[in-house]
Amino acid sequence: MTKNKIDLKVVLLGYASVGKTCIVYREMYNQFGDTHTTIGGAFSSKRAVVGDTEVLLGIWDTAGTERYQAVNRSYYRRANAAIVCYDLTNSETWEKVTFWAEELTQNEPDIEIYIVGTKLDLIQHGEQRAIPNIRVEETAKRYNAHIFETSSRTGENVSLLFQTIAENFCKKTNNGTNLPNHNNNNSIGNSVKVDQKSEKEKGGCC
Amino acid sequence: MDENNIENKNIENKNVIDEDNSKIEKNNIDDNSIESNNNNNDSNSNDNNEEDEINNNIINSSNSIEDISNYLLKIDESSGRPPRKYSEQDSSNPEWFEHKKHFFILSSSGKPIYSRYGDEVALNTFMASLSAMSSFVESQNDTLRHLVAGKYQFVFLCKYPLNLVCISSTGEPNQVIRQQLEYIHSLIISVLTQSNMKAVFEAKYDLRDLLGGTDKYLDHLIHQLNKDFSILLNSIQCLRLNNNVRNQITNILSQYKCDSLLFSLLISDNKLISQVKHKKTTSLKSQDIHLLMNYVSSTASFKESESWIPICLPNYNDTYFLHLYICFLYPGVCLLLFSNQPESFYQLSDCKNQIIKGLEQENIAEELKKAVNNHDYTTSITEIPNLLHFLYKNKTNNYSTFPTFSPPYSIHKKEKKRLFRLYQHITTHVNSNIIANKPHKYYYHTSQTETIMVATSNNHELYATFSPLETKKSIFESFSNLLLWIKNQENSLFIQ
Repeated sequence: MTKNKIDLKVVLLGYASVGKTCIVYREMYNQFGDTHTTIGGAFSSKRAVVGDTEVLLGIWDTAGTERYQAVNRSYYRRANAAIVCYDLTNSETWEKVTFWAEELTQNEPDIEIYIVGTKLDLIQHGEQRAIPNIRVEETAKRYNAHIFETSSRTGENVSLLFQTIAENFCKKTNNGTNLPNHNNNNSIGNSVKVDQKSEKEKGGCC
Repeated sequence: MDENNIENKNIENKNVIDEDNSKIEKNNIDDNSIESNNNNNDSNSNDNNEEDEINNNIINSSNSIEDISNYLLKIDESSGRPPRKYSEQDSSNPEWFEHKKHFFILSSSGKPIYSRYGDEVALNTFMASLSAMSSFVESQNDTLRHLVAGKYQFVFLCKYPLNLVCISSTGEPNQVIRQQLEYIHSLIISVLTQSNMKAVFEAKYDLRDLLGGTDKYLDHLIHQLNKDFSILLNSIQCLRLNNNVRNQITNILSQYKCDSLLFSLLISDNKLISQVKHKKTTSLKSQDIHLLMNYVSSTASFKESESWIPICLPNYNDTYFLHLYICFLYPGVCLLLFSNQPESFYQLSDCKNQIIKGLEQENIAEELKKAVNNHDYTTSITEIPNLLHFLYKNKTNNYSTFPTFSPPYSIHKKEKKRLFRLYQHITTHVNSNIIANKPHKYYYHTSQTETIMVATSNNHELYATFSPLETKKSIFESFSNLLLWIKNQENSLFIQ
């Protein structure tokens, strides 16, 4: 049987310097290093395999700086998944998560949202969590979002994140024909997933 | 941000202005000569004086400044970009005053936006006094252009809603510094557009919120302005490339396009390989192309993926953004595609794939890669004896060419800088023949270290630097040989 090929467009959003570009670097090149303020958006693509399906991941890394906020719309348009990042140690960055989640659900109702707390290694080294888990879970529930915590420095959970995005997307497209139905139902389905995920994460980081 | 906050800040500013003015007086800036539009007494000091001034500056400067600038130069060469240094300094540190060339951007109301050295917020008071100087002159329905205070010259460029100021002890001509300030102003426009900037300013928002991350482009541009001959000549340097290969590349660029595509450019560092205009619009100006090159060379991440950025080209249209597709085709070869549609990324990405296919046929890609590595040349290639350096500008298309530094200039960084500064003075002199209102036809400068001969016509400017021991006669002869050499090489030196 020949492999199915599907395109998956993922967009990274979030406050400036939470580490969006670092996630992409880790995923693309398995590297961690200095990055610079992104201007506009950068597109990179990668192949992932889910079962007998080949997924072509197109990853849009966007600028977190405020002046590109309006332009970011053109990057998330028709995206299948959005990674909305915040810095686990910085409460200021959390505000943008609700902002983007709200905007995405308004404009792209079909998009899968992944709320990703970055810089997990700092928490593991004893820094304070800026946002209590319960708040993250509440927000995730409200927007049907998945929760992840990653460290681009150590690489923890980064490839898991992209693999999960690819798997969820395949599931969704394989159930393809009843996509709208699926969306209507997935409020229950997803919130279960969220709980599983967050439990998994908690296990991983504590 | 709420308005009260802003008002409070403004009041603070005013209080501070008084304090700072008294500081300035203590600093012996009493003997400053203010030049405004009304009394246009350009100082006509002769060349030798200026040169002495430059030498004196180099000799007089304390060791620490040399150390700092040498250190900076080292960093620049290793990483291609100076890190954001000295951010901990402000006008209360004596070290801060030792930097030779400061650049400041502030809003028309005196709010700090950018400082080359030091943290702009900590420099609030200093910037407020700069703002006071220009608004004092403005209140008399006049414009402050520059003033001299001891060994420092202050150059002001007021373009609503921004004020740009350069304070330097480098002895550069005011016109040259003004040109540099204009570049910096254009960079800000390219990030925000003129209309956005006015709107944001009038809504009393802090412009810095929208300029986040622009520091590194400003730092890099300022660094480039201080060493780039093509900017000094208001021109673009082209990659040296066989004429046939270049034509093939241009054909490929014009062949692969989509509806929304306005311009296709292929660049290598700060050199242009080819450019194609797809619509009946105005061509790109050299200042805009330099801004683009500055973006590309100061953003390492462009090398790793395809990028899609909104950008305003101030000389094309300063009211709206164009959408720019950026992709490195090969190491050192970067493709820029401009579109007026925010949604055309994937179409342009397809164009890129076709362009690569096109280049890979008939070995053009190989030729191009070779040319990128072989671009640099020294004066020895011209086989003209005792020719130390030259600058040539083709005035019909604004393209320029110049060799890399060779001895004696390549030995020491200070010598490179000294020659650069000397060219700054000479280009200014040549182009400011006020009486005839056109450039001088010939210009001859001689000193202990070199002789520079200049000839200009409607089609070109040539600045040639020879050993100071050469006789006039042999210089004239070499000069015409050099012109001949350039004419013969025109096909590969410039885009035809």
